[in-house]
Amino acid sequence: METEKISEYVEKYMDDAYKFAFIVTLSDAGAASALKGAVGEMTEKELWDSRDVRKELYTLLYKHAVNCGAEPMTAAEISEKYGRKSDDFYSFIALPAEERATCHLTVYEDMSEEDAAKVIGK
Amino acid sequence: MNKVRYILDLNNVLPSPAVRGQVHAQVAKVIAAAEESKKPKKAKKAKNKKPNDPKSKRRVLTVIAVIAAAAAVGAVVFAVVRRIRETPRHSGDDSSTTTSAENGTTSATAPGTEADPVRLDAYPVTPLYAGDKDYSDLLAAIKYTLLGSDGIVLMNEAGKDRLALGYADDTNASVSRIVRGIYAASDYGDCLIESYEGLVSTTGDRKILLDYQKGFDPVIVAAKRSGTFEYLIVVDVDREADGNFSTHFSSKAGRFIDGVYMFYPDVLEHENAFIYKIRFECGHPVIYDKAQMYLGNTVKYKEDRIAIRESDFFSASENDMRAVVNYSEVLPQQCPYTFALPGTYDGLDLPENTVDPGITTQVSRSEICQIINNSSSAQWFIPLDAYTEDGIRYLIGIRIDYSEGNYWSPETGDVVRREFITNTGGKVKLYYSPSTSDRPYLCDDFSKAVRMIDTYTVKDGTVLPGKQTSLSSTFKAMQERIGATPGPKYTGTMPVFKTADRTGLTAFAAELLQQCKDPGVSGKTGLFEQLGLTVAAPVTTGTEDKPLSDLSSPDIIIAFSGDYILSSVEMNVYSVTQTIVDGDGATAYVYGVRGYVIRAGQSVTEGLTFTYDGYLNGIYWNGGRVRGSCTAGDGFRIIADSDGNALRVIDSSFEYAK
Repeated sequence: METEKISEYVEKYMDDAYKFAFIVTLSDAGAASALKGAVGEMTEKELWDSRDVRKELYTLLYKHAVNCGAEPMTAAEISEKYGRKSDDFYSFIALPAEERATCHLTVYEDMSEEDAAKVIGK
Repeated sequence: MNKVRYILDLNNVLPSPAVRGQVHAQVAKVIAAAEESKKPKKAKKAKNKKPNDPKSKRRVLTVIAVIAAAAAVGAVVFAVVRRIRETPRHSGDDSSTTTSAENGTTSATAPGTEADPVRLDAYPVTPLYAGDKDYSDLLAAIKYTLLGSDGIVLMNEAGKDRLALGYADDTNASVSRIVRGIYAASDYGDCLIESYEGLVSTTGDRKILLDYQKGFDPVIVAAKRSGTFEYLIVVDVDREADGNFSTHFSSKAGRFIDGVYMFYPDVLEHENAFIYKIRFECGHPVIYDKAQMYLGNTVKYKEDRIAIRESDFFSASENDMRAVVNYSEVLPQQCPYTFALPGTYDGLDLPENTVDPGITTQVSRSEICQIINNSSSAQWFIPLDAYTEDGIRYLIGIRIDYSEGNYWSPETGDVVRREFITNTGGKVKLYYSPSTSDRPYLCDDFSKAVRMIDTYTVKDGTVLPGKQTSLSSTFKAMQERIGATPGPKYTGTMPVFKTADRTGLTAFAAELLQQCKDPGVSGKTGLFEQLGLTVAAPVTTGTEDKPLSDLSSPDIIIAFSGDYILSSVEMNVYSVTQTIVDGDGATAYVYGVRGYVIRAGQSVTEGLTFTYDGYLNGIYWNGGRVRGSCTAGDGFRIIADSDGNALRVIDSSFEYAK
């Protein structure tokens, strides 16, 4: 695939992919790292031609996100940056990464719960 | 999975421009590596893809808006930087292409890893063009201030402190220069200073202030000159005590050795940078614009320098920047203000046809502004010479009084003209051709039009009250007295006395020529005024821009938008008629000027189009002369309201049939 086309894909999915990676890693650095890693692997494996690019991308995102090693932000840090303090909020970020990922995918990516589970390898 | 309802707003969780750049860099790197290996991989088709089953979609999370913390995006960027630095490398990452959060690069052999902490093959980075300019003030201005797209100048805490000190001590030239830079960077001089405090909810380029506050310094890695502008590519670095430095994207980008930033070779290839459009004015760098750019594949190594393709200095946004020098974009309130004069004294014995005498004498904006302020009617002052004798500095030049037609108008081809009326009533024409030069020109009849020369004296940087006015011929004598012989010797550098064997246009020695901005909107305090550099607003026709309701001649008010065509212009010695038609060919406006007879329905001779910018614009033609007998295109201007509705058409200085 041409570089320009890949770049278009990257831009198309970048925002939501970043959110997803953030939800999984609870870290800006982790989100950035996962995004770069996933996009790089998508490119290297020429997966941008895939029938379901989004699914391929999110699968790799999850892989890189859980492996990125970035230290999650604290609840207070996340709360300060992205949300008001609330029990629900804290409960959410306290969930295991795979559950947060599933929640995110089902909401933001309009995937079924089953597909979301497949994406994250469960 | 259990249903969970939480409150979370991810609207502000977005990749920063820096991250975007990194991701694209990753793509570019992977592709480049694949090409280089010459082992293209066969495309792998994804398997086991199942279409989403809409029936099974089930929202389990309700997202309710939560007001994001202020400065989210800016903070995100910093957080990314911080995390990238602080996060230890993950040992379990089994992907050779997975980005390391630690070093911010994309290669397992990337510089700055713990296994390879110092790379000695780093390249010294020297600006491709730097000349002998001192960029320290520019870098300070970059670091401390920023002009937002909304015209608000942002200043971080350090900058604000420095500014405050500067006001307290006006000898603080550095701060003064920064403020001047802020002023010059604004569109209309109507900028406000705000600390970034209270603006934390803003996004975009303001994040840079937050970053700089944390210790980043701007480093010029490449530069290019275009006309009177320079375009500088700046990478932000954060230098540690041990000499290592990092960038926003690389935790170990290189080493600072003997005053030189030594970048690891592949770091710059994956950097985002800012490109600044600047111009030196009176030796001071002034920031005119900036844009973000991704160095990516544009960085090439050549010997011990990095090289960047010329075209990469001028991205799409850069072309927008450059539009400033296009005549159609020149605003009426822009004017040449500061000059670097050719050295015409010191007893030089220049050979015939010397183009560049080798030295210049600068006349500062401050000096010119003082002259203008000390006059009740002066609008501009065009210095012709400056020299010092017995401790007294003399400024010699032409004082330009208020005049009509003081805006750029079409001349021929893409040459535009600006006409001034001097203090003795003579007309001075200033020409400018963006296709051939960024410099304006004086017509060779300049010396004929100028009959009086003013001489001002300056002591300790202050223009003293009073002036000496002399005939222009006296100026020649003065030139001779101080050691220079005016005349053909200075063809090409002395427009006043150039000979007629040229094409009629002679360039200023405008190395440092600038376009002066409107000093501010009446009733508002501009930075220029704050600096004590207030000048008379360049009223261009004597007709002020008034609210619609204040216009005294409602019959000439027209309200329209978009481009209209001046379909006919008929002129002779006694009458001038302008007819404007709209896009459907209907007559929108007919105006007879100066009390002459209105003649409607003239036949179309040439298409003259005009545009406006919400403030006012002159007319420019797209078809050359009208009827060949008059230069009609320089004839009038449009005053429009802020919505772009033209309020008034005003004639000015038609040049009547000859």
